[in-house]
Amino acid sequence: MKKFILWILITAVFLSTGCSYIEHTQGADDKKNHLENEITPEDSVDSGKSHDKNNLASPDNKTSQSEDTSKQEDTNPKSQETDTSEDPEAESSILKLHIIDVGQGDSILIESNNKYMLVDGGERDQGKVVVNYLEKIGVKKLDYLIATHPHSDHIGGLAQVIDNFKIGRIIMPNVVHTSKTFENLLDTIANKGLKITKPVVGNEYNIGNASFIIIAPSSSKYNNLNDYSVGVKLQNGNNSFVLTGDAEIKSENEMLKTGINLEADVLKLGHHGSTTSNSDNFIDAVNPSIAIISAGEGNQYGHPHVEVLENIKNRNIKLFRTDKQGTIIIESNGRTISVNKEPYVITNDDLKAKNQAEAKSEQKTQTDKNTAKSSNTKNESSTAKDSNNSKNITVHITKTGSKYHRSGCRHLKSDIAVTLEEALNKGLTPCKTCKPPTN
Amino acid sequence: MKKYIVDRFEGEYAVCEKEDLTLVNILRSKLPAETKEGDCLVEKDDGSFYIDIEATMDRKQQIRRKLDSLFE
Repeated sequence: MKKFILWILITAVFLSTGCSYIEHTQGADDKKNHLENEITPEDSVDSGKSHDKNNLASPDNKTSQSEDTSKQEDTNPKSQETDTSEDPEAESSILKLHIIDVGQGDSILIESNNKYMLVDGGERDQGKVVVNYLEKIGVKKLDYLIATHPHSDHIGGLAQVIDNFKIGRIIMPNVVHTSKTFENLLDTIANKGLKITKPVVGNEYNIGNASFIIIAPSSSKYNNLNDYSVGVKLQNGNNSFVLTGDAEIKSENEMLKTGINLEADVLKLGHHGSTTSNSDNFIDAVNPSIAIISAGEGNQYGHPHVEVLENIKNRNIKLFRTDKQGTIIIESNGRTISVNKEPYVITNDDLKAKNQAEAKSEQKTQTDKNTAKSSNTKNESSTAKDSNNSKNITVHITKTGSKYHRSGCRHLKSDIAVTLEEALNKGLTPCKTCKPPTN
Repeated sequence: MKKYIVDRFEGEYAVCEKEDLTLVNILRSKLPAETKEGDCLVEKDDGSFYIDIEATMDRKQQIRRKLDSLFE
């Protein structure tokens, strides 16, 4: 169906530039507009935009949503409808971003003019938390639901959400996961008769008085599920927001090459503030004044990582984090941004955590650097001491590198499995990203 | 014999889904070196793990069919 519409749009543009067949051009445009309204009502409800720059009457302006997506500079969202039959004053230009505290995971609600979008739904046991939060806000329908990628800390709660609300467009990456949590999500979507839209970089959608553009994933195949994360840039007037799920540096680098202007006021730091994401180049490009971290207090993965906190501090970016401050609500009026909390002050203790952990792991055998501060009893392994000696531990090395790694580390260009003893005998040192065992 | 599915890796842990859908962190050093996201794992009585390759393939195919049927 989409291809058919695209064909009509292209035909319309072609005809309109061809000097003759004026009547046909008009007819094609009428048909196109009719189809757009019919097929994607949720995309077309926005009217009476207050942005002067968008107030162009040319029908061709509307085609930008479906075509010519690769080179859009979305500082000026082009796809907004310009139907003047409704009073622009009646609409609110307020956009709210609720970064819901779901412990270790992500769940972000976006609202604009009584339209709603949910990006992720936390772990399965957080489904109820998200549902309750949405009910409290007064959500009846989620016009958009984005499941950034199939990890349980992002999709676990979504089945319950789908069961409890009307759902418009669901956007999910084209990648399979074998977990039952993911399978349950698909079953829930199927049982409700819903369909899934694949994310296409450059595609733009309207939500209330705001809009968002897909900025990731660029590729169709990655080595890990995080990189499949759907990334979006939200635009509300002059304010913008970048959300990238758990997209790692590989996908961040691809986002830099899309040609989309990534500069934004607010960046939700990737992967709960982990060093697997949040590269300098990416943060340079987004250049946010506000950074958000969604993570669980005392999580066992050391999120957010000290290196990322240091970076945010050095850049004087205001930080807000759900693990320390609970749910964060950011409000934009299209010109300025306000937050319901004071910025989190990064303390020396926050930055010391790494050094303490390193000292600890030197004293003892390889243990979880967060065991000390974690009260999570789910960690069976924390009690199972690692008395493995270096002959029994397998690590991974590359042909020429000076580091050794865990399986799946992003620095593994070539992948040669060896025992830890062999790696140490070669004089290799542990990778700082994947932190493999040291003894 | 307990069964798990690797949901993801976080640092030195494999975050694994148990049969009751709750999650458990298992140190990656305890798992076969070639373990990947999505692998179905079996924990033997002696506490060691192996990858159930057949079960992994089956689930991948089954869920791929479900996902494909849902895309617009």
